[in-house]
Amino acid sequence: MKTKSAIKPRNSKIYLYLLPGLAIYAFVVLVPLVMALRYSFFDWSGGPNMDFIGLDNFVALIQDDVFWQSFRNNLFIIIMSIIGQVGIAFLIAVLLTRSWVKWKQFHRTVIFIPNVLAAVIIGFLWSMIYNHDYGLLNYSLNAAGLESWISPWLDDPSIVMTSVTIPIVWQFVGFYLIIFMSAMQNIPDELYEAAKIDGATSWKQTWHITMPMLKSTFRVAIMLCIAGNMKVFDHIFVMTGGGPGSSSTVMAQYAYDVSFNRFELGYGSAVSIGMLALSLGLILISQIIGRGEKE
Amino acid sequence: MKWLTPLGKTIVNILLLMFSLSAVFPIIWMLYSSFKTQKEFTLNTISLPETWQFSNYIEAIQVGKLHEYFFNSVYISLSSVFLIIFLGFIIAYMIARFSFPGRKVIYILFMFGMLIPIHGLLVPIFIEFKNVGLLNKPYTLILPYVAFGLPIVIFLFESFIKQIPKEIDEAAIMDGCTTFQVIFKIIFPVASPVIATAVILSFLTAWNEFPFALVLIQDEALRTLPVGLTNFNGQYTVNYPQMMAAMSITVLPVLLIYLAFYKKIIQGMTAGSVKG
Amino acid sequence: MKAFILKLTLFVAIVSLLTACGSGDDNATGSENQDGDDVSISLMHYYNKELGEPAPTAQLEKLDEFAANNPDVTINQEIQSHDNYETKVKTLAAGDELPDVFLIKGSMTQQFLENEQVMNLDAFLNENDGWQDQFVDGTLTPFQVDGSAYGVPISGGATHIVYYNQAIFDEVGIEAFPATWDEFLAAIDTLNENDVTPIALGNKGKWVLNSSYLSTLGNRYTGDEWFNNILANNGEAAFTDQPFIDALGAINQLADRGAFNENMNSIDNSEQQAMYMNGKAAMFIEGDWAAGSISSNAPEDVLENTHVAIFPAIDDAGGNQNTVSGGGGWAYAINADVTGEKLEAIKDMIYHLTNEDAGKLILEKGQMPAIKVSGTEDMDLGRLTREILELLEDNKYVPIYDTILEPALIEEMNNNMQIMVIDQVTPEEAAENIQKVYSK
Repeated sequence: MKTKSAIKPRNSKIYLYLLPGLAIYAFVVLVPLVMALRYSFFDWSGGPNMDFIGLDNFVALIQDDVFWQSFRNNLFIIIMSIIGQVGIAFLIAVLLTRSWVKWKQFHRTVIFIPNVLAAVIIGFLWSMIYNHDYGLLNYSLNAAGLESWISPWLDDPSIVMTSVTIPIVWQFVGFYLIIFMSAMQNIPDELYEAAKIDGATSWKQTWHITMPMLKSTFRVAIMLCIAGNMKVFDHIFVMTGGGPGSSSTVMAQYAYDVSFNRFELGYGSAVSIGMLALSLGLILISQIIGRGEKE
Repeated sequence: MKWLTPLGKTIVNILLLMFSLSAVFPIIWMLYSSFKTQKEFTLNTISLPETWQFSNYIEAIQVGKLHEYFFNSVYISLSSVFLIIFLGFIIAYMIARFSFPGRKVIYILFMFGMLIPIHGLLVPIFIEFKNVGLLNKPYTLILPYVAFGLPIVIFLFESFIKQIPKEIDEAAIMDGCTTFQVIFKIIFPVASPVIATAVILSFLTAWNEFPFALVLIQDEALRTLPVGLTNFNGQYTVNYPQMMAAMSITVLPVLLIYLAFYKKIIQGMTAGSVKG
Repeated sequence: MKAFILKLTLFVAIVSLLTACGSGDDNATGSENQDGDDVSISLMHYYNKELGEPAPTAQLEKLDEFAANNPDVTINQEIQSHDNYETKVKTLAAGDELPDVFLIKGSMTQQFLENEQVMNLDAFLNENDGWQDQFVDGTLTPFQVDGSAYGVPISGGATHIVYYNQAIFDEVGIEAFPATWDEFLAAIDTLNENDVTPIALGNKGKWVLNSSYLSTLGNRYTGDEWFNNILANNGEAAFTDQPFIDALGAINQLADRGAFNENMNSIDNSEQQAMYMNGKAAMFIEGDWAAGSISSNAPEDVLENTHVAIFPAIDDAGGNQNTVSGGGGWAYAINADVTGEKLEAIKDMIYHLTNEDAGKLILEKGQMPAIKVSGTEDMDLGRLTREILELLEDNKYVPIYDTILEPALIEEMNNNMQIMVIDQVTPEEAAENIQKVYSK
């Protein structure tokens, strides 16, 4: 616990400071969340008629194959992103500290740019890249003499998840790069200097100093990765519409489909609540694993 | 130990360059595609335009009503960012610095917000806003943007402020600063790199946000750009080059803001390393 | 602290001042104040003038005309793009905030009716003598529940039209569009042998195979009775009935023969048109609306050689063979809460938008109206439009599955067809999956 100090204002004053933000947040996020929770106990197609059906929606949810398939798809994206986004971002962050790496300023500025674009634009662009006939990818493979690698990237259910995940990973590398770069700047140089005197190579320094010092940053990055990727929607919707069949459907799209295409708002709320519960579960698991390692 | 030969280093450099180029390519592709005719675009998506159709931009502005929506977007995004940073910084400071009853709960509640699927809350938020008469007002969108923008910003600020030595605050209080002054005169400037990140992130989210903008606003005069962008989708047709032109118009301000603030982050970083 | 609160208040004040100019328009949905002459109608639709789509453009022109003729009526339009319209109308329905007049799809009718949000239009359709009978057979059906109508349809074209390129047919030695299903399959083989994609298919949106293929094929195999039983849910019909499986089988047969491009599930309907326009495919199958974009976007040589047909007769199928799926896509619905003078104004407006005159305008713009139009011989129509018009004269409309069936069922159908054409499920398995959702 924090020690009391001379600078601490009275509690009432603290609450007063917190009030405006907290009020907006409660009004826009917490209250509707409770409303959604309430809807999830009803059979409701959006209108005055609501039938209370207890836990039926949740019973249906547990037996809903598409929901669990969507969850597996989200898990796949999360794992790929932890390896891809966090991994690549860290690698690049380390590379950018090396003297022999060129155009550092350019890399730093440019890698974040895909973050600036709306998900819809990213999805649209990549569906052009993957296009079977005139897409950039197959075109390049052709030019490189790798005709046999040409695939229907977004049409084959066995590879479609990989195909739709790559753009997501690619887009957010820059975000994690920023996080790692700012975290690395907080590592005292003395540590590296001492290591240098001991004759450690730069990669040994990375392994023995940078990595351990960034442990909490990694934990944070992984948490953000889980939180963000449980909600992905637009990228995939633009690229495949969730297909073929439901093979690239993610939970957010499923929740949206149920609520807005099928008009089953009660069940749709249950799907959203289910998503939230699974996200919380994953975060808790990741935190426990992270803590376990720390010990 | 030589684990990387000069050749290896060259390869790494090339790979890195390719990655960076892939990051700018979409914008370049979008820019030149926006000058093609619809026919050219459907015939070959990747090629450069044969003749440059500047008229796409004029039509894009008309179809998307971008001139009407642009200022709404600017006003909504800027107000949201201002409020997010202002409120978020205060909350993060309080949580990072002091212990008080409910501190943990408040922090967790905010972190919770990062997990909430927005589409799941569209209908309840619509109904709530309807009941209290908040639909379709000039400030309607600011509320959800601020609320959903706060969590990540509080998260970033809180972890940053924790690392700033408390002595700075104490010294300032001794000099007769109020808490408000400590937050904004003393701590705020120190946190500028993380504030720059927060500004970029929250501006992006507000600027690109679509579902709330669609559902909570009825009046044409209050719409924002992302809704305008969908004007290019007909029931059975999409005019891609015009849409690209509109997207280019939409992306440009964000890009400028990013470039403006990114310098700040890099400055912060280099300053940090020099200090060390 | 006081300073802080002061600053906050100041900010709020500034913000509200800044925004004051934008507010002051509070005439939302409610049907309050109807004092005297002036009536204001709120109307939500997805017509975008700038896109130049046939029926929407015609509707906008008719709306302007109505407004000019009725200066005492103000029409407040909320315009959304087509895809957004659906999300928006459903959200508004959930919050019970629907405008006075809005567009519904056949599959929405049931939901809106259950929540008592749409008005029964039977009396209205009989007010103008003979009006109800002027609608093309099958265009009102999607908006009827238990024999009562809840929507007035606007356009009512076919969702199944085969557009084919005669020049490509000639090149590979197909003289005329096949007259039987077997000849059709043979033509596909011939095209494949000559390295031309027989049919461009863009089913990313998942509705193309349903609207433009299955709805027609289904009726050809099952006949009318089966579908009525399905709708009535009387236990007389199931999706696992052999005729329906055969209909799925017919699509599967096309896929197995390599009739489609490999990326059929990752491109959308505008891209299937693009493939066709690029001369990469000999045919594509979509509704009559596609004629418009082909006429305005296709290179001249493709356009000149484009003709239209429907699936040829299938020998061993049990239903009528001169059928094509079609009928109303969208229709005007009236908010159940509207009354009095406003209701009268709304009726006038809807009549103006959907009567024969309006139908003529829709046809002239290049789409099939829901209402019968006489004297088409003398009208100035595009070549493709005229060809489609003639084609449809001899053929009867049968229901479009995905405008009538329940959304959850449609979703299951669409998903299963997507994976059936890439050999992930057999027609039998697909039928079973669909039946499972149906019998829930």
